[in-house]
Amino acid sequence: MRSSTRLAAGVVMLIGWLGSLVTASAEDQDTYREESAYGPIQEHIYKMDHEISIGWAYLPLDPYYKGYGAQLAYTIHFNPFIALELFRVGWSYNVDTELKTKIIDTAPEVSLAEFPAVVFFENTNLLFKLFYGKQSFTNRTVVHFEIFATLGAAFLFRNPYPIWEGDLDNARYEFGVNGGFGVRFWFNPTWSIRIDLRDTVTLLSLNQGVDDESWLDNSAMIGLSLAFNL
Amino acid sequence: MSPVTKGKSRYILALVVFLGWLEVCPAYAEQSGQDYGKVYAIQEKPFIMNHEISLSMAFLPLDAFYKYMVVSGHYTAHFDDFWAWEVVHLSWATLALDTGLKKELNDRWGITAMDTPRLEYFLDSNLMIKPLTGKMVLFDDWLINMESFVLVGLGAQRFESGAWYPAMDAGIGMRVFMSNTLSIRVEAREYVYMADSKVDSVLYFGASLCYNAFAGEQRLGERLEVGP
Repeated sequence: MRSSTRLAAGVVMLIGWLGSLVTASAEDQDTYREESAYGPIQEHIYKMDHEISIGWAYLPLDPYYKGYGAQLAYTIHFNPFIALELFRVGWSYNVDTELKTKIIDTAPEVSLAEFPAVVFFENTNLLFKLFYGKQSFTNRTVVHFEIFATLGAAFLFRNPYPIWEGDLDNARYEFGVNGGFGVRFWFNPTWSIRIDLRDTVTLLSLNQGVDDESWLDNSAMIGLSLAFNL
Repeated sequence: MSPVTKGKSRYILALVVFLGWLEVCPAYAEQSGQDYGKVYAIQEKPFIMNHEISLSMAFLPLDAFYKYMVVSGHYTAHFDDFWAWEVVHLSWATLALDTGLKKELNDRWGITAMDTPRLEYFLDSNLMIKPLTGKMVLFDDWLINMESFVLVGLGAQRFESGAWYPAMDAGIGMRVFMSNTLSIRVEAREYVYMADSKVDSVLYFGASLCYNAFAGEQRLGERLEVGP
C-alpha cells in the first residue's frame, strides 16, 4: 500500500515537472514570436483543396502473405485542419510467406482456400491535420510539411486466389474501423508526397466457404503516394 | 528467386526510383520558372545537442508469432548540427505478446510450430545524420522546434536460443525539443539480420525521452538567408 502511494506520488511529481517544462518552453517560444518579423511561422503557404493521390501500398501484417499494391485516393480539404478522404481504394498483389509455403509442404491436405488475403481495400476517413511546419534541408532548401491523423471506416475484400483467376467461392467481405497517421511534404503548391501508416480492425466479416473465427482480424498498410492538388 | 528475395528486390527498386524522383523534382521546379520569392530558412537552430542519453519504449509489429514491446537505452554523441553518433543503442524485448498463430496452426491443421525463436536483446551502433531542422505549429497555435534525422548502423540480435545474429539497420526519426535539455524523439527503424544463412527483418517503432547532458546555451540567432 505504501509503495503504491509512493509510486502514485512519484508519477504526479513527474507529470507536474514535465508540465512545468512544457510551459516554460512555451514562454520561451513566445519571446521568439515577438522577435520574429514573420511571427512564429508564416501562414500556410501550401493549401490543399481537392486532392488526388496515387501511389504504392504495402500490407505487411498477414502471416501468410505480404501484399504489394497500388492505391488511389480523393480527398476534400475543408480548411487547414480538417479534410475528408472520400475514398482510398487499393489493390494488393500477394506474395506467399515462407510460413505458408512450409504449411503447404508439411500438410499437403491443407487447401489453398484456407488462406484468404486482402485483394481490394477501401477507406473513408477524416483527416485531422494537426501539425504544419517547415524545415530547412542543410540550410539550402526549405521543405514544408504537415503531420495528420486519420480515422474512419474501412472495407476489405479478401480472397485466397488472385482476382484474375475468377474464383470467388471463398471470398470474405469485411467491414471495420481504420486509424492511422501520416506526413506530407510539398514540392510546390500543386505536387506533394505523403506517407501513410494505417491499421484496419475488422468488426464484421461476411464469409463464403471456410468459416473460421481464429483468423487475425487486423490489417496494416504502409503507403507512399504522389498527390496532386486540383 | 525466392518470394522473400523477390519482395526485397522490389522494395529496393521502389526506393531507387523514389530517390531518383526526389532528385528530379526540384530541378523541374527551377525549370518551370515559378517564383516562390526569396527564400529564408528558419532561424539558426536554437537547441544544441551534446551528449544525449535517452530511454525508449518501442513496438515491433511484424513478427508473425510475437508482437514485442521493447525498452531501449541510447547514448548519442552529437558532433555538430549535422552529424552525430549513436554510440550504443541497447534494446530489451521485455514483453512478447503471443499472436495466437501457434495455436491456430495447431487447431486448424495439427501443425506444431517449432521454429519460432523469440527475440531477447539487440544491440546496435548508428551514424545519425540530421539534415532537416525546423519548426512546426500545432493547430496554428503552439510552436514546436524540431529536427529530422536518418540513422544507419550495424549491430547484432540475440534470440532465446542464445544465438547472436549480425544485423544492419536504417531508420528515420524526428525530434521535438521541449527545452534545452529535454526532447522527445520518435523513430522507425528496419533491422535486417542474417540467421543461419537466411535474411530476415525486424521493424521497430520507438518513442524516446532524451536528456541532453552538458547542453550549450540556447541560441537566439538571426535568420539565415539561403537560396539564390
